Amino acid sequence: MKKILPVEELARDSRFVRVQIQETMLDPRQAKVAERNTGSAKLEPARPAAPDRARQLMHGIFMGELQALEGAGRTTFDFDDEDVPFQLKLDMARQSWDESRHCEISVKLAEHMGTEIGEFSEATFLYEAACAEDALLRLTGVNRALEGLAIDVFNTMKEFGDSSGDPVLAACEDWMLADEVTHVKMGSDWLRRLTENDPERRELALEFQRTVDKLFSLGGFRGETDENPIQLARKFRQMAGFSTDEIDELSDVTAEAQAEAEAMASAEQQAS
Amino acid sequence: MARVEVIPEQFTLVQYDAGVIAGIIEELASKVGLPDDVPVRIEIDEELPLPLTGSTADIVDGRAELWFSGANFEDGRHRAVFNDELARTDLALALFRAGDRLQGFTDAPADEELTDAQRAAWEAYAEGRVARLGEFTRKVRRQYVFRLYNGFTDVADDAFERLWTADRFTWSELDALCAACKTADPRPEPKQKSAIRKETLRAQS
Repeated sequence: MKKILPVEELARDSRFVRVQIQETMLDPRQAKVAERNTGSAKLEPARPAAPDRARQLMHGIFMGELQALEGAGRTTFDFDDEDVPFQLKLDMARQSWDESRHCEISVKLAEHMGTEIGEFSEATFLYEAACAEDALLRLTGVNRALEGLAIDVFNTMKEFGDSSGDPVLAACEDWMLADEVTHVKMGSDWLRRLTENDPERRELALEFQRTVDKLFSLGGFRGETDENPIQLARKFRQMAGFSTDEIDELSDVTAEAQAEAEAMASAEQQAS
Repeated sequence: MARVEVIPEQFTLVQYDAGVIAGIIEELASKVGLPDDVPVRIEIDEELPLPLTGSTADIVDGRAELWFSGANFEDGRHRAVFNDELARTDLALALFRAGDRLQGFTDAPADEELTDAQRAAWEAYAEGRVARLGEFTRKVRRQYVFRLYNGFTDVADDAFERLWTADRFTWSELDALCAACKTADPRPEPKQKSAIRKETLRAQS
């Protein structure tokens, strides 16, 4: 079996259509929408188009779970015992099992909300970030950055379930959130163990995490203000092994990503 | 004057064709039973992408006035591309609602004055009829929206079934059904949904 599987070779049937994230970011309509005073972007039932926002996000979560399963599965297989400790591979195998359950739960939740699998396009950047050749970069890029994003997303969806009185959504998201905290903690623990005597390597891995964190803040998609649909879940990140300084730094990175996206949109508009 | 007027005549941000949309409306207006002497004017806001959906259906000076976010007709898999199936459902639904305003719903508030609960109930009633025309519909999705604004309760689920299967409802009956759902709903009073329409946003700013 091939190691380091390229994103083009992920198995998908005809229901799935892929899209490059740049296409969405550079859609001229994004700049038009940004000009409008549409109030708080936080996902809550009183928001305009809340049902479709929630359905699209839920579909995105499903795609993320599928790629997280593929990513953790690859990490279990891509590295030999001399590359990484066997216990780390066991953790990745456990994570794969968790992610496969999350896929099933997400499919059921999508059905509950009236969404068809493949109804929205698939962005594969999550898997692409999960394919680094260095296992340490997968721990920071995937377990700490992407699974950290999953904490923020699940917590936001759980709050949406709570505020809308949807017991199914709230319970399922809470259930998955607990697993994500464990996945992030695995990343935090293994990062410390593998770089115990190599601070330089640790810093390089954390730098990669910062890059992924910024990329996945998606120009304001995640943050700590009402302008951000996905809210940074401080409490759960602390439970997952993030220090307060690290969360503050992430908050700064997300604000920076938002400012850059706004500047880019403004430049696009002036050019058109 | 043509029976259907589509605004804009030319789309620049999305791959939609005003002529195609007008043709669909002509066909559906006949299917839903909108009287021939009622012209239709539809404005589509092409600046709004998925998932920023929204629409209104009113009667103004004897004319059906429809407003749609461009997102309502957008294919979720292909950015800015028109999806005929989704458009037919939403247009038929809006035409039914505009027709309702001529009979049985003459005393209903204008669309932007409706509460989320009333709006969700009316759309359930309309989409059920769209389904019986043989058009593509999504009952589970409609029920999710209905539950979101009328409660995740058995009372709300019963009300949804009544609306979906009904062929003749009045505004007062629909409003009473929403009130019954509200009584059974343990959630706190919802905030009114803010509008996505430009005119409303301008008025607020």
